[in-house]
Amino acid sequence: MATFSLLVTANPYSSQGQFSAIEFARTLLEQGHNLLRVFFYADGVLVASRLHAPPADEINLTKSWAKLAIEKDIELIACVTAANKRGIVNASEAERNALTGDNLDPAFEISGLGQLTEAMLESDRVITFG
Amino acid sequence: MNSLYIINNPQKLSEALPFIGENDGILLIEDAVVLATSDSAQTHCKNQFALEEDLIARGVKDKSQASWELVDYPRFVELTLTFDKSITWL
Repeated sequence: MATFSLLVTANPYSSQGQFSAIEFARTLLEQGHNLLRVFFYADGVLVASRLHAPPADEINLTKSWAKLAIEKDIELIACVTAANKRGIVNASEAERNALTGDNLDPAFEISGLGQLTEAMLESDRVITFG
Repeated sequence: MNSLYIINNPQKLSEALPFIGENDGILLIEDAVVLATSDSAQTHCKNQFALEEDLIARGVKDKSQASWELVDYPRFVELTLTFDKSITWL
């Protein structure tokens, strides 16, 4: 049994990477491996907004990640710098930047690149989806 | 140390090839699977894989060449463990 982490940089709506990452995550969990953390970076952080409202016949990637995280106790972490500049903020970042609202989905956390470094040190494999 | 090179864009394989040894692995996913349908994408690498469901999604599975082993997601996960590390060439 191995411990994995994933690095996801894919834009949710202009590439397939988020779908590939979710499928890879589900499969490794089905095989009995551990998934320590999914770190969202660059355009990948866009999936962490709780305000996505895709058409009913399309997959809601945010909810797909959230379901996986809640059922399997997986950390979903969005890079604070990548998120702030793309308008993905939690309550404390909104306050710190004097913004009028926040939009981070509750299944996600905002943190720094240290979380990616730590995931690389603590996982047997880190797989990137971009 | 052998690496698994994950390629998701058909234009990136030629960029990565100079760095890929014959005992490394190449895994084509997403749009890059079209390379597995073409004679022109011959490489010196002995371990060539393509994600079957991405070939099916693009309607080109029937055209895939025998030199590329078709794999599913469970095998994708196994490959990342078989090789010492994976490099996604973005």
